[in-house]
This record gives sequence, C-alpha cells and structure tokens, in this order.
Amino acid sequence: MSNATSTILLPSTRLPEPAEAGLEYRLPLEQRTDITVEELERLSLPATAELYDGRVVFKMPNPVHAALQLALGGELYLYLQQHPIGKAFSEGRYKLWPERNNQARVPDVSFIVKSRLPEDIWHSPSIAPDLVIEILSPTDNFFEVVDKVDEYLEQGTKIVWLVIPRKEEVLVCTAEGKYSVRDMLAAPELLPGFQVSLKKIFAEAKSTS
Amino acid sequence: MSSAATISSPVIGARPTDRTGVAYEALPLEQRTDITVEELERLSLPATAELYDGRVVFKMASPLHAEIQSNIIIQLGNYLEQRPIGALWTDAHFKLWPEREDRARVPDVSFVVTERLPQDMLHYPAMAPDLAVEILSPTDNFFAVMDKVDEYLQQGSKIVWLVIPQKEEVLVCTAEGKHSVRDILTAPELLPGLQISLKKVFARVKTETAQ
Repeated sequence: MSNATSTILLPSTRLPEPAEAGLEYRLPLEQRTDITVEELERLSLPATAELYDGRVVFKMPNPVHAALQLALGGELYLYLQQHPIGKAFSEGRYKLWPERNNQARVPDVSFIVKSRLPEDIWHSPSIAPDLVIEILSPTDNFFEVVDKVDEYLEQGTKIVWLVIPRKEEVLVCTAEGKYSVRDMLAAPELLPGFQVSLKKIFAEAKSTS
Repeated sequence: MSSAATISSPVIGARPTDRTGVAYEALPLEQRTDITVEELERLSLPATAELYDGRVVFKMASPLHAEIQSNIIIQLGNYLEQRPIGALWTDAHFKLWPEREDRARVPDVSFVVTERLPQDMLHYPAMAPDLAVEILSPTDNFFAVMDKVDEYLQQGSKIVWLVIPQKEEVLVCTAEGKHSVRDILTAPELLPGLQISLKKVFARVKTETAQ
C-alpha cells in the first residue's frame, strides 16, 4: 500500500481517484490478478489458498480428503520421528518459481530433506519440496492435474504422489514416468524404510463408523 | 418401446407418434434420459455419440485429437496388415453392459481379436473391446476418466490406453495397474511384436510450405 496520508474526503458527486484519496484501490479478491506471495502471506485467507499468475485459488477439501491428508501426513510424521532426515508440512506454501512473485502452490502434504530446508521457515520458501502429496477431488480436471505434477517435477520435486480416493490408488509421478500403487506405498530413495498400507488408509478414511 | 400406433390424446406425458406410426420423443435430445441403444442406432447423430444411462453425450474432438487418432490407427493398421489377428475400429459403439439398453461407449480407437468378433457386424456389439484407446481432451474430469477406464476393464477390456496429448504420454491401464509410456508403446500379450513410436503419434503436421 502507498504512503496513505488520511485526507478527509469532501462530499462530491465524483468519486475521487484512489491515488487522490491517498488510498490504493482494491478490487474484490476474486477479481484480482495482481496478488503477490508477500500480500498473500499478509491476507487472512484459508491456508489452502494457492496463487496462479497473481490470482488466488482455493483448494476445497472434502472430509475424505481431509482424513487422507491427516493419515498420510501422520504416517510421514511418525516415520520422521524414527528417521530424522527432513521435515514434513501440511498445507505448506511454496514459491515454486523463485523469480515469480505471483505464483504459489500448496501441496496437501510435503516433505523437504534436511539439507534443503530453508533458513527462513516463517515465509513461503522459494523452493520445490522433495516430495509432494496431492489428494485429488471430484472437480479436478485431468490436464490441470498432470500440469501441476509437471510444475513440481520441473522445479525440482523428486516425487509427486497423486492420491485418487475414488480408485483407492496412488499414481506415483517422477521425472521418469508414472505408475499406480494400490497396496504398499514407498519411496526407497527419498524415504528409506517408509511404507504405508494404502488399503488400510483408504478404508479408514472412507469408513463412517 | 412397444409403439402401437395409437393417436395420443393431448395428455401430459403422452408420447406422440408420426405418420408412420413410429413413436418419437417429444423432448429435445439433450433433455432426454430414456434413449436406448436401438434408438441411438436409428438416430442420425455424430458417430461419437455415447449413451450414459439413457442420455446422449457427444465426444468433441479437436484437430489435434483427430490427428493423434489417425496416427494411432495408421500404426496399429500397419501392424495388423502384417499380423491379421483382429479388427481395428474407430469411433465404434459398444454395449459395454450387455443387459443395459441405456448405455453405449465409443472408444476413439478399439481393437477386437478375431475369436471375439461379433457375428452381427451391423449392430452395436454387446461386449467390451480387447483394447480401448481414449485420447483425452482439455475438458476431461480426472475421476470421470478413471471411472471410464474401470468400466472398460471391469467389462472385459484387457488394456486401455489413455493418450495425454499435452504431455505426449500414454497411460497404459490394465487390471494390474497403470504406468506411463513416452517412447515405444507395446502390448506384448494382446498384440505381440507391436511397437508404436509415440514420437510418430504425436508428430505435428508441418504447416510451413517449403520455399
């Protein structure tokens, strides 16, 4: 915001130009395309707000999504207690392109190895996490999802796990390609010794009793 | 439907008949949810009309989609010329669920092995193709695509190839799982010896004219 000196506005038929009024004129959030990562951090918005070319986009998790996110994040947290090789984040925000101030992505769960952890962990780091977990929703568009995977991989993420609740399946995506997993989810190189039973996690997330 | 040519009195819900006594439906096509496979065969519609629970849904193909479809056909066709082990179809209708009259699916490309070819080649066969190829479009919903794959696999298709033009990638789907392919597409069990170069499949038509 510009140096806002408070001038008292005289009643006029003409609305003063924002600059004249000493104010910066703001469109409603959903119409704006000029939001920066810094402003996003200051705004009081749901944690899942992502930034696409200066535009805020909210991710809307349903209860199954939320349960899966907690379960997978929890498994990762427990693993890291035993193997302190890095840090896991829920809804961590990333400036995936360090030079682009109008882009931010929020993976449902993410993991960064110790050696790559940013010094300033109070602001959205300008890096790509090593592991990204994205839980898909019924409204997700196919091409947008595969684009998102490539964004992470191109910016340095090693593995993206696309969790497909409807199919009780995870599509493991790396620079080499994609493959589906339905039973044991692992990532031997990045998380040696980590294993999650997908059958158990999906069953628990979908159960109602 | 059993259409005896009764002249319907103007009662709400009554179905009018035309002069030949054939019942036709009063509602516009896009509002109807009672279309059967038999009626779909009679209607004059674009070849890619699918039937979802009695509702007609059109697949919309872009030129890029059409080109990739042709390129796959050319590669599969070349293979089948050498090894005539089945039939290759474009935009063919399948009654994927033999007992469901209100459902039909139209893979972009399909392959049926000779032993399974239907005797009646003039009507939509009540079966699943051995191979179904679906070329994805920008409007495709992720879960809807996954559902479609499972429908084919559950009804007996061995392989579904999901072609992702924008990534120049094919997601090979079988009952065992899914994996992506970017270079050479094969199907050892169903089409032994087949090698499709995806580079060729995704090659764009050169629009520049040589000077």
